[in-house]
Amino acid sequence: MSINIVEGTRPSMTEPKNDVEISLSTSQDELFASLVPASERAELYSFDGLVARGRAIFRGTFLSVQQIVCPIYKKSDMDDEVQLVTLLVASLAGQAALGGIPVVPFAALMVKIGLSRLCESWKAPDD
Amino acid sequence: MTEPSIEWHAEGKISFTTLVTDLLRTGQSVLDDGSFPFPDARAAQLTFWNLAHVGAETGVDNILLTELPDGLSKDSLARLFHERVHYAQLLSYPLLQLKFLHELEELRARVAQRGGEPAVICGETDSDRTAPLSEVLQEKQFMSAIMEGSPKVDDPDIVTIPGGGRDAGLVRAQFIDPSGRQMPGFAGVLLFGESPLLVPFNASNMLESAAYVTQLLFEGAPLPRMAEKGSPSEQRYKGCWEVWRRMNAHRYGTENDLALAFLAAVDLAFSAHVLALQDGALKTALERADYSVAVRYVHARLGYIMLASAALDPLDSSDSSNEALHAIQKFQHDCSDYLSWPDTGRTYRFMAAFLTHRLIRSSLWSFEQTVDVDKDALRTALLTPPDELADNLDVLVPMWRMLEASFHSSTPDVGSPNYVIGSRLLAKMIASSVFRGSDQPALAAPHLQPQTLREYFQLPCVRVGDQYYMDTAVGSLESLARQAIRIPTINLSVDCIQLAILEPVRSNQSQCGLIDPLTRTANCYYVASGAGCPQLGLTKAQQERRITEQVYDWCHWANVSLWTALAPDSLQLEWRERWRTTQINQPSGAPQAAAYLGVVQKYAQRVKAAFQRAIDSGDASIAPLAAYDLGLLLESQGDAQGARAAFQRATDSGDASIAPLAAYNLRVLLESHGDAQGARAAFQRAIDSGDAAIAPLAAESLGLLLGYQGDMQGARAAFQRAIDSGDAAIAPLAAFGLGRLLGYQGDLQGARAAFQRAIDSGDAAIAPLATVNLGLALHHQGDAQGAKAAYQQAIDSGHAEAAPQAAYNLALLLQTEGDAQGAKAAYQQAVDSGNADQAPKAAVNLGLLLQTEGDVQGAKAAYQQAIDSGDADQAPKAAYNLALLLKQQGDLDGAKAAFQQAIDSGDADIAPLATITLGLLLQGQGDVQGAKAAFQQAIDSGNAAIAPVAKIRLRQLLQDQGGAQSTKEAH
Repeated sequence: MSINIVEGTRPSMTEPKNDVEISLSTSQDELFASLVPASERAELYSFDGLVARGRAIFRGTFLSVQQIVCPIYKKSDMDDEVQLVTLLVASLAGQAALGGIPVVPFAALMVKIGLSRLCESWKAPDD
Repeated sequence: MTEPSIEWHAEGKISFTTLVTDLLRTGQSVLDDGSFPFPDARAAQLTFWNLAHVGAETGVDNILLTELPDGLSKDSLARLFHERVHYAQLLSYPLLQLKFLHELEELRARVAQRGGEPAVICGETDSDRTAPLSEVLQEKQFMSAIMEGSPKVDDPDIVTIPGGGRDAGLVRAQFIDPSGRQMPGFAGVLLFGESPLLVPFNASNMLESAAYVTQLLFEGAPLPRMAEKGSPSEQRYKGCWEVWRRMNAHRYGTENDLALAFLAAVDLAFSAHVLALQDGALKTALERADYSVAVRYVHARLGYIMLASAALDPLDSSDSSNEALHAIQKFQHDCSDYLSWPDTGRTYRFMAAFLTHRLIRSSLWSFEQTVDVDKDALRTALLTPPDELADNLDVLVPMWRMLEASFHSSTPDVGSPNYVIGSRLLAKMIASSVFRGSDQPALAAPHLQPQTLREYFQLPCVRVGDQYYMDTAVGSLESLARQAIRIPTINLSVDCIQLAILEPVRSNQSQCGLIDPLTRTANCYYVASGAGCPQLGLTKAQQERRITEQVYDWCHWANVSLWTALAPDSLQLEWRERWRTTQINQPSGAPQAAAYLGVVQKYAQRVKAAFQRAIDSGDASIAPLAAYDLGLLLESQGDAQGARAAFQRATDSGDASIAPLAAYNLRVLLESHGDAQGARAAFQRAIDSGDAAIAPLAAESLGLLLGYQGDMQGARAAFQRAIDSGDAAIAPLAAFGLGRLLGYQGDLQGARAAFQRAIDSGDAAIAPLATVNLGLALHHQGDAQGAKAAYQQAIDSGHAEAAPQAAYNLALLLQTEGDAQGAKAAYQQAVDSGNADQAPKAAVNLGLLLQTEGDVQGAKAAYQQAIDSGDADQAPKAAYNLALLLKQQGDLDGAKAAFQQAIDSGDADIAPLATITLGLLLQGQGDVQGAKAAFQQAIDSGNAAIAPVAKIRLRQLLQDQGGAQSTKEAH
């Protein structure tokens, strides 16, 4: 028995969404997994291993850029998540401390986890 | 020691290129440190500086692995199982073996491109050649397409199977690599409503899906169903299974059989003959393009298997794992036959031969001067193509033994002759191919026999942050002995770490691969032990300590970069100067071990000093263990007093883990030095600690001690305590000890019961020994038939100690019954065992038996065997018996020589007897002087039985010779 398939596996879209919105609508686990570089993704993980690796990458990277991110967060009063992610992306783009991980999912993760929580222990130098 | 109440949760990952397994911690908050709160690897850290120093001094990279601690949660152990499955896949599937070779060749090419020494890495080409990097990268792209690629759909018509649902099927698809090479095959399609999801049958999807399904079955967890498309991860782990499930669920009686069939299908797919084009036996068959594809490409094979299996009876197993294994085997054979595919056993044997060629050709140079190489066998092996060797792997056995010898290192301070990177892992792959070639259906569904996975595919290097561990599963010596190339798992870790270090070379970087490029942390034993990372920068304290310990900038990376000649010139010059006085062999850039004896001597002194420093520090976390380890070291060096003090200090520390262990060792020491009271007290302390590991052992040992001391009541109680602990290792031992105790006391009934308990434990070491002793007890009770049966059981066990002992005892029993033939056969069994205790005395008794039967030659041979054994008790007896026999036969010269052998033994009973007998022989020959000397020697022996007789004989001799003076001398 055979059936003609509809070509492709991408979901049909009614309107284009930018990467920021797509990242914000993605689960945290998928975002963590997306931080893992392609060369490492090709390894053989257990089911949530990629997520675990992504979490380790997130932690290490966040601690490297905390001095950039937390002041931005403390000074901004944005409620809109899209705007906040966009602001973070703009601030972090090109930073060597990112080590080549994708900046949009990284920024979206920070917002989804909650910058108030992530920056809770951060103190400004003159505090 | 661990705190059992804490459970650690982890996911896993294993690398294709390094075979390092990482455990990645889960369950903590996102900003919490991901390292595990395992107790410090204190033993490893205590010896770290000494190992590092030795490594720096000798150019040998010492990697110390401790066993993975307890405390991993049940689900984490399932993840470890998952990675173990992947490890088995990586080692044994031909596609992945070839991929590993490609990866090694890429490293070689890149090292060569940078002016380094590629010969120190194994690869696809001979050691003195390297493939052009461009060719290597082209192959890499081809391999990437098979591993991770998304196919191009050739024909959108979905193929389903009769009776199946319309929500899943197969489509014909092509994997295309960047160079345009096309690999026809299939892909799966899942329909979610009207929305299709393409499931690429790439190798990674298939590997993960199979590993995930077998992991869930291992855990007893429900198998997945995809109700929606899910994330890319879900598609990867569940996609292939879901296609199979939807297509075949209607055909299978149970979901378990459905899953087993899926696993069997994937395993059969991966048994592809990837090098079929080099196999002359398939030349004609491969002229058919579709057949060639079906034989070689895993993604094509899975589709063909899915379709073929629909025409065959579905896999059907019972609940027992044996039935399941037969069902898997049948499924795979039926599919292969239906598709006219070559026998997969041959495929694996071909790969074993192919990889052996590769391994020898790329590593022989490193060991051919120092390892015994049978040149004729080598020539035959290398000149015979793999397709011919596949039909006769025996030709390669000498090569495998040669390779084993090349990996052997007599001590940790001296490197093994074969230090070519990747050689050990390739050797393990060869062994895995041979293993798979013997038809091992269990590996398709490892959850059915996890023990087989643990025995043969123990993970070589499990990394948890910056600590390295051995897999929790410990392979047995029996399984090691059965492997084609017997390489202990711990030897593989060196390759894993070195390959990990070289990873950045693939992207033309120089830094150490143990430094995580994303988190900038060094996951390294040197960092874990406080020595820091020279590449990331050392603190002042680390620099000073390294200089003090003469480690300088030595580390894993320094070792590998020097071997591959990728190290900066300054580093090379620095270390060559340091090693200037040590023995350095070729090739350039590859340091060899320094002189052995001096290093070991220095090593022992440094270890003691290190332990003492740790003890003096008073640090509660390391001082007790240091004291205990120092005690062990001093005891091994014969310093009983020092060891006693060290053990006492460890005992007095009260450390919950160390104190009972030290108390136990202290009693061993005290006991061996006659301090029975002290030993008894130390024992009791160990028992009273209630430590689950030590208390039973201490109870058993106390039983032994009290038994020797004559306190039978106390010994009995102590043994019973050890038996009642139910400890799987100690209880049988204690039952055995109790049996012997009761036997000595004459309580044969009690002894029988105790021995039976030990036998019933099934303990492979104790049960046979208990059987022999049961035989003795039965014999003493007059039950000769029962005794014979027990002895025969012990003989049949093949136990190295019990079987010869039983053979000897049986021989004695049969001899007393007058069954000379039976006795001879049993004595011969004991002799043939070569057992150091039983064989010599059996040889003596056999000689006597043969002599009485008139078999002079047989008797002589048996006596000679006993003499040659050098056994201190039996050799003199045998020499004396032989002398008498030869004298009877008229061979007086032979007799004299044998008597002299008996005399020279110095045996307190035999030597004087032989001396006086020799004296009589010499007297009979008229050799008066000789006879006088012999009689005098017998007198001087002071032997209470022989000396008086010798005096009489000498007096008579002198009287015969005449002379009052001589007579006075005799008195």
